[in-house]
Amino acid sequence: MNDLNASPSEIGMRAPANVMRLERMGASFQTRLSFMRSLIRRMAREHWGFERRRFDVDEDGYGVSVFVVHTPERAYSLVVFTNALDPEKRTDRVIADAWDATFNLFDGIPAESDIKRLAENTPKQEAGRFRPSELVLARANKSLRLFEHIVSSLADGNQPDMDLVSSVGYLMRTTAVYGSGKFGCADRAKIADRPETRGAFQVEMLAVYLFRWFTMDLVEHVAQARGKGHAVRLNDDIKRYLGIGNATGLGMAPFLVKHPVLIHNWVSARETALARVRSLRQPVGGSLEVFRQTLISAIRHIDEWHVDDTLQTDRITRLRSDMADLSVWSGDTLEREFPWEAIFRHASGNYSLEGQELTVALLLEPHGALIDDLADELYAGDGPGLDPVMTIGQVRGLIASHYGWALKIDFAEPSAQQNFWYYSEDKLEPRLSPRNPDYGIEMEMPLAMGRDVAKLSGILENVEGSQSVGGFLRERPEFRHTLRRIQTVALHPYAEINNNLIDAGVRPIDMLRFKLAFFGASKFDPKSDRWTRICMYQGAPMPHELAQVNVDSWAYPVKPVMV
Amino acid sequence: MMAIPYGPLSLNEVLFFVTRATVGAGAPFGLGEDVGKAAVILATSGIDPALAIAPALQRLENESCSGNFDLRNDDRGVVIEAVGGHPLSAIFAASAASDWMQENAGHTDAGVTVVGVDAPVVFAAVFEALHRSAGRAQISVVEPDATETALVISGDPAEFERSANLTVSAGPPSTPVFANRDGHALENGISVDADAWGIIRKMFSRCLVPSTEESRLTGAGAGLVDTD
Repeated sequence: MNDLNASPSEIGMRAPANVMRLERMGASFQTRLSFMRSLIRRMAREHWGFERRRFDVDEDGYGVSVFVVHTPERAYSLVVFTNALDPEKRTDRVIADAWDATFNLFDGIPAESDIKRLAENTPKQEAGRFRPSELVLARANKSLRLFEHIVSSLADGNQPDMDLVSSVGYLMRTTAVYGSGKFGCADRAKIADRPETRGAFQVEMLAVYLFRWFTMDLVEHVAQARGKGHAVRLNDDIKRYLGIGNATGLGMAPFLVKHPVLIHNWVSARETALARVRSLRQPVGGSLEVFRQTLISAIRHIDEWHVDDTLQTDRITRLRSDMADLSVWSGDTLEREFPWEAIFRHASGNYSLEGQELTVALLLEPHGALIDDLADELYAGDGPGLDPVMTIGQVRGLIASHYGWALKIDFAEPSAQQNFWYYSEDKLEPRLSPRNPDYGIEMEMPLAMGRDVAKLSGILENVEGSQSVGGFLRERPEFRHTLRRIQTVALHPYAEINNNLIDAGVRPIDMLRFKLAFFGASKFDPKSDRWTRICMYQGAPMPHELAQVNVDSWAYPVKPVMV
Repeated sequence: MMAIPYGPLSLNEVLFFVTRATVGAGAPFGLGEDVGKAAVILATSGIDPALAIAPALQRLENESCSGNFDLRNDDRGVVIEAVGGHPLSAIFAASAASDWMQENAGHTDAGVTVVGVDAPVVFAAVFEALHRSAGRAQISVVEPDATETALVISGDPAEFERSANLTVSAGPPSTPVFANRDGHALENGISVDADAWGIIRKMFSRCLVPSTEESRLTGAGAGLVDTD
């Protein structure tokens, strides 16, 4: 039994060695700091305006549309192209070359010449070329089952079957959302100083939010064209319950290794928020009730979370048990000092990793006034440069402090280096394959930081401790990247995944879930150990509802009850 | 012959492709990262990063310059010079010079002579990328008569082919190395010479692994046809 009685001096941030393990990262949940959540709050707080500026689509829903959002200082436009798609071409893979819908987020309001230019490029996606006026490039495919079902239901004057709606959760799913200078689009630096886009992935999240709105209008339009006078509008509760799907594969995994300072800032913000909440001696007004209500919603939400993957199904089953316990336990024991710390300790000592991480998310939920400022810190500038003055003795100390996990691995064991990461010639798709001397291992991406640090550590055993890093690198320039990494991680300890990413047992999906949870995704639906489907913005208020509802009430959406 | 422009490219594309092209030309990834940042500095200085860097990568690839060097003291002071009489790769030399200058930052007369640098423009850009947060330094060209002239890069393509002996000394430069600043790169993107960018892309492609049916099916996840 854990000691539940806390004292403030014992409450600190969770250690990187605990938080940055793939097993825990792969149990992540969205929190109120997640990017979609903070964007929705900003939209409501700043009274953003929404305008359907153009909707030139035919009765099948094919054509051009422009949906505009007006922020206090500027406008952004979603420009969407929809077209017929051969079912044989409907793949979620990066290597696809045709989609149901392709779109950009345009910086401002596009002129006709811009739309004409985009019409020639956007449907080609990676094969097109773009300009800094385009902030995002993306594409999406329909869920054929649900799109057609909702069209036919509405056309016949009926609302759709809620079990089918719940089992899919979206009308369309994105298969890639590119920003940050991809294919000629605007560099992040162009928008990094704007308040509304300074946070991580805010333009990408905005594009998806506007696209969600577009899909609702599209399905109603096609139903209206088919049903003529019989057609009805889609119920508002169902609209709100529908999100945007997403299929994510390995492309997302290298990002986490390549952006160490950014990842540190994300995790540090969440862990700072958790430490603030745990340190509260008494609950702030109303927070206990918000916690209890949110827990009820979360329990209903995970009751509706069904996947085919047997491992994830087992985890969800255990999670339901954990949350049932939390409901009982927290009902009995919150009348004490440091109630949130008591919950945290109970969860840490008794729950599965999914249960622990959902508890963390639940603890943050009632404390917006205390922690929401941290959502503004989820970005990063340039990382630190190499420090050539540091001595090798100091480097040895940093390795011991931050890479002990790597030094315990025997990289001579074949299983420890079974895989390698690389860019494929197919549209630069990142892939992970078994290491084979005859198959491109010399082109390995530098993502195996544990192995590389362990190798360096062995070499440094024979180097004078007083030697400078600069002096060492003049002899061994091949270690420049690794040394810079070690120094960066020393300053940003949540930057490094504390696992061997080329091990036989690595599960890339843990990295994907971690990143997607920071985005704000829910309903993780693993399809293998290297790709997953998710839902974005499920339950989020539609544009016209932003001024009318509690914009933080959608963390754990549940299926609406239709009467 | 008129150069054919290609673009616009984003700065992120320049960074991504040049970093890995440098690896494709034979340099370690850590140096590739430095050259990638240097390419962005060139681009935002109104200088075509592809025209400036592609020749340096070609020389590295065909071994007409060397990354092997000595750092020693002689009558010129501290000297960095390629081993074996080859021109010295700017990519290797700039990081070594920057590191040495930072290690000796406490000495007011700290300076280093870099002999036979194959691409002074690339040297200056890499040095700037590494040294920007570490304090300022003066880079000068050592003329044949041993006089020193502050290095100023205007972007004239002739500058990209000229090797030079350089000195680097502590203290603020008398003249900015990069004469121009292009404040519109983020608004307009970067236009590069198509042939030179083709060389960058060719070297970049050496970091790509050919696709096989097996890697297509299992390497990245996601089904190849999704008709739900």
